[in-house]
Amino acid sequence: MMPSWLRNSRLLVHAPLFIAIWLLLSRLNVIVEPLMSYYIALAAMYATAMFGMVILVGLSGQVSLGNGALMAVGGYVFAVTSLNWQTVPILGMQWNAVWSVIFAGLGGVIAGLIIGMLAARLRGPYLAGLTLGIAVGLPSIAARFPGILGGSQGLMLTVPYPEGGYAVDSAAAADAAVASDAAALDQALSGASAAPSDSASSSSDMLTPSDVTGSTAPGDMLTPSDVTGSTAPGDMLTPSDVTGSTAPGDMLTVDDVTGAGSTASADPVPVPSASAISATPSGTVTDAGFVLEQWQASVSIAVACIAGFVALNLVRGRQGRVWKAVRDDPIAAALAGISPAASKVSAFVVSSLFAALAGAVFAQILTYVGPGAYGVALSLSLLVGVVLGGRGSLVGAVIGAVLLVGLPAAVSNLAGERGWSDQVTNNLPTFVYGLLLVVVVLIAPGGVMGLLSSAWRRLATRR
Amino acid sequence: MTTFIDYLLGGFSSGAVIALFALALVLVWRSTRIVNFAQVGQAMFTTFIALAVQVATGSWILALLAGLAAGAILGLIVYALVLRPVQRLDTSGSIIATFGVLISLQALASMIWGGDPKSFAPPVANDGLEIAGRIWPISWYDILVYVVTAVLVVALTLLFTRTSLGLSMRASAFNPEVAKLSGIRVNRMLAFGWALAGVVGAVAGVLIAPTASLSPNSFDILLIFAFTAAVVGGLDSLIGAVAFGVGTGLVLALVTGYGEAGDAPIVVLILLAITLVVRPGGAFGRGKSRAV
Amino acid sequence: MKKKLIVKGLAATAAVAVGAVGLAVPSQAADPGVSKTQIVIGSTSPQTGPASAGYLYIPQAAQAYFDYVNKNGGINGRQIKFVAKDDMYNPATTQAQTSTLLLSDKIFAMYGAFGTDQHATVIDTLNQRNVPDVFINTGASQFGNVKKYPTTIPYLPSYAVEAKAMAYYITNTPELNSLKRCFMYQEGDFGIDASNGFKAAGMDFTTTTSFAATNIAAGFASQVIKMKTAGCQLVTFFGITQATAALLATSAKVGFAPTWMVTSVGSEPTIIKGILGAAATKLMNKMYTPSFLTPITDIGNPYVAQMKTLVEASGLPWNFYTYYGVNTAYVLAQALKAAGPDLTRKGLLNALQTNSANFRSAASVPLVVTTTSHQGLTGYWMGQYDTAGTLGRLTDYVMLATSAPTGGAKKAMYKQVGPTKKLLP
Repeated sequence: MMPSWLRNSRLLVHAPLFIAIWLLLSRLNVIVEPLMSYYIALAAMYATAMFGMVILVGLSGQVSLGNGALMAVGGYVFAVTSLNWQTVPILGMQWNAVWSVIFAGLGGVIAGLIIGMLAARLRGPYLAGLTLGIAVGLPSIAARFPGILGGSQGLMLTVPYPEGGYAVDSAAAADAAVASDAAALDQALSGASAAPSDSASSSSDMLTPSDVTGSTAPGDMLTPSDVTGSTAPGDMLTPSDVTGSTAPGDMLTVDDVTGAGSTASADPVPVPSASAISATPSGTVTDAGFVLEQWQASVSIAVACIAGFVALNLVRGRQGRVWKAVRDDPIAAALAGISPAASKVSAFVVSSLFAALAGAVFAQILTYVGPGAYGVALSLSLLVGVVLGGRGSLVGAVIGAVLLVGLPAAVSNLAGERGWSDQVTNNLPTFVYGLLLVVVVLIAPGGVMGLLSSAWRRLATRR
Repeated sequence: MTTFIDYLLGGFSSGAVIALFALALVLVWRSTRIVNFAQVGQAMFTTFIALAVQVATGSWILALLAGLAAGAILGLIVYALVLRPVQRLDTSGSIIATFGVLISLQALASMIWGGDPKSFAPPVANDGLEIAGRIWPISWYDILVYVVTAVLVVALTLLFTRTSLGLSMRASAFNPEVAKLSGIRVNRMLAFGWALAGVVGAVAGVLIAPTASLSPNSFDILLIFAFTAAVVGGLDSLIGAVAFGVGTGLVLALVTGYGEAGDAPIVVLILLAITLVVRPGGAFGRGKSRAV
Repeated sequence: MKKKLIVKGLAATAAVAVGAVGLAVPSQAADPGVSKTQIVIGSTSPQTGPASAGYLYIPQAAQAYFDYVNKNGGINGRQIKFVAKDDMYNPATTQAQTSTLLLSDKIFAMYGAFGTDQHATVIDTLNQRNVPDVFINTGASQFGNVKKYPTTIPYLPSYAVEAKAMAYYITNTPELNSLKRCFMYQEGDFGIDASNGFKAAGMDFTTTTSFAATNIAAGFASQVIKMKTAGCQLVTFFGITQATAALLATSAKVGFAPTWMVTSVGSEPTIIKGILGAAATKLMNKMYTPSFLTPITDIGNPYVAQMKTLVEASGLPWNFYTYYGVNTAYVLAQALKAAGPDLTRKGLLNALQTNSANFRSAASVPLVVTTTSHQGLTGYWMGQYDTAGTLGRLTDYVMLATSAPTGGAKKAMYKQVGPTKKLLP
């Protein structure tokens, strides 16, 4: 055992480290493009969840396919508390989003405790089976409570835009909309002829093609040649027509643009006057100082830095060694006076805490919680991230988080303009993504961090 | 009472298909100690091949045979290209690798056959049988599915318990080093296990396609149920996989019938948790497998 | 960066101030995604994955229409660049793709954004940034709130309106009204909105049952047995098309043959025929389905005839999704044209809100988009499938309603106005 002052001194080293990281990322957040800020927000959110995965999967050796569901716990606690509570219960203080994040973490701890106790005796695939069941079953619970949890439709959150934003009180807005909808429909009806009250209508009211006015002259009808550009009447369509030939008929004509020369042409739709503008409330101009993506990233970065700080202290401290000891040899650990069960449960609790915090941030980024957003796919992607980044390392978690955000974006435009069919082009990114997973696992079983550390070792031995 | 029997019969036919997929998962687990997430993807892919053969020849038997052959070949391909190197990986590594194979296969199928669901004509009528003046939710086709499932379970059980091939496969999976020393060609045994699982998965795919529809993702939910059933059954146990596969189908049917459809996954989760807490190695597992 | 944004914000504020007093605003300073030669339009929808079946044709058909318009000179001299992103029906992906569209592709407007949960993740930011969010592809009524979402314009009538139209038709058709009614729905916006619509119209059911969209492969045996045991004679169904096909097949298996009334978005005949094969036409015979567009088989109608021509000449299959995709693209093109040569986001919204009654389209019901109300299409006619598997129109009248929590549908006559020349805006 290490003397306590030394451990404290490490705390002293870690704290400035994370403050520096936080400052650096915060600075980065305001100088990059908003899209990059959005990616930073997502990556920091994933990293928060992945710190928990590193502890659970890497250090404690427990596989989890259910951490997406634990994120759902955090997301739902965040959403429900921030939508319903004006003051903090018991403490009586003014509510704000930070409280929601804290309560989300608390919800995660409780969920992690329950699942951890169920899971402590399970190994490998049995644990994977249980956690997969949780990933499927837990979001379904939300669907059973439409009143408070929004049912399978989920709950919508609002972004705390600065004063003057367009957001209005939703209840009042709904009432107003109902009233104006009815009036607008009545107005539309007054244009159309009112229906006779009896159910039988005269056959002359039936809609027939000839009733459809304005466009009965044959020349006004669109024909295949209009689409393909061929001018020969009755020309049959061939594939080369659609792909575009260089026939003179393909050239643009003034006639095609203006529709001039047609007597039967419909009246052009009138251009409205500028003064008719309304319904867009006065405050819709995006506030100059507020960039949504930067705000999302600032929340996400702050939570990730705090989570990372806690995780690093746990991993490098006594608890980290306990987890590893139990993972490597539970019997020896038990002989050394460590309770393997308690160690495994604690890993679940910590990982669940981080998942729930990430879930709260995710809810805030999505401005939405719902079973569809926290499905099995999310749980799987967390495992993908931690395996790609490197199971046992917090830096690996960050790398995995960046890969989770970056890889889909990187492969999404693979097909480019190669003239393949939509069927091929659309599915190619997923195909390549799947192959990439396989290849990375084969080439680098220890993830990117495994590759880096083995490269470092090779360098070191050469020297 | 007749309603209750209706629910059971309806649940039985969806349960039989879950059981077949669970069986395939158990076979792979027995041969390589890997849970193959790509199993439903392989089954989907081979069923598309079977469908192409059925459309071309009009014969269900030929389609089935083509599916079986494709299943064995695809099983071998996945094993040779992906799983042989992955064998030394831990659970999470193998989950990700097989998951990667799954989504690649689904994307590939979408590229080749498109995303729209296709119909697969059954070889015998899938209309409910009329017995005692009443139509019951069981058809000749369902009976065919039950017979095939039962035959497969018996044949596989005999293979593993009564033949030297089966014993060699189990030995190779349980302890490859010792098996190698006793002269068993371990790699060949493992590959055979994968091919066999591919065949069983292909059977499951061809059998379920006529009752549902066939699209690149249509078996996804079955993977989850089959995995659950296989785990609860003990992963090593053929009979466990079948029992809990059918059991999952029955629970889903009864909960949906007497309660709400949305409660079904929650009830399955609760039963899963209870079973694993009571028996961490699965209901048909070898009891307490290791200390701790 | 920050400074630039402030400047931009000031410019926008000035533009609003000038616009308010009715002066013409030069478009140079204006909105992203529009130049003298190009308009960039974005869209998100499932193009791959389990939810993409059928729906993947909608953006492809819209692309075909925009290609056609571009070939004929574009709109006010501008070519339309249509960027359709795949979100695989995952709300998180929808948001990421929409962010890319807004911040990297710099779109002028969103068009045809697909799905309720999916759209919930982006509707706030689209409205906050004043991005026109035109013709969203969801029937959930919550987004048609003009006060809350001033830039969001629905097109599909809401599921609540559809339920009210069904209730109206059932109540006023004696041979249906006497039947024992049941209701089956897909969990989510379908079920919530449709239940509210039926409730508002005062319609109740003997038995109600539901299913989860992810669970279709596990079968509907229990739901069908439940309804059969309850003695249901008329079943109203709200779910996606694959679910309808599974429901029909399971019902046929157990000899359950009620009168079906299925939501318009869940009864695409070509998809059902694809799933059920030869049995489809027999199973769909006499099935009621409301619709809001001219019947797709009404080839004599100049809209249907021309849209079919366009779709098939572009190498796409002719089905409800391609028909719908071309139709909304056509209305959007008219709105873009009506917004005038100095195209701005505000101008487009303005054109939509002041001209919706003048836009030509294959719709058989009025489009209500005004400065005070964003309802989209407002009703349905009732149709029924015949022995050949085609949907015939039963009512010469249409049944119109709002999504309000009380009150049912009203009957009205609606006369369609013919298309513009060669379907160009």
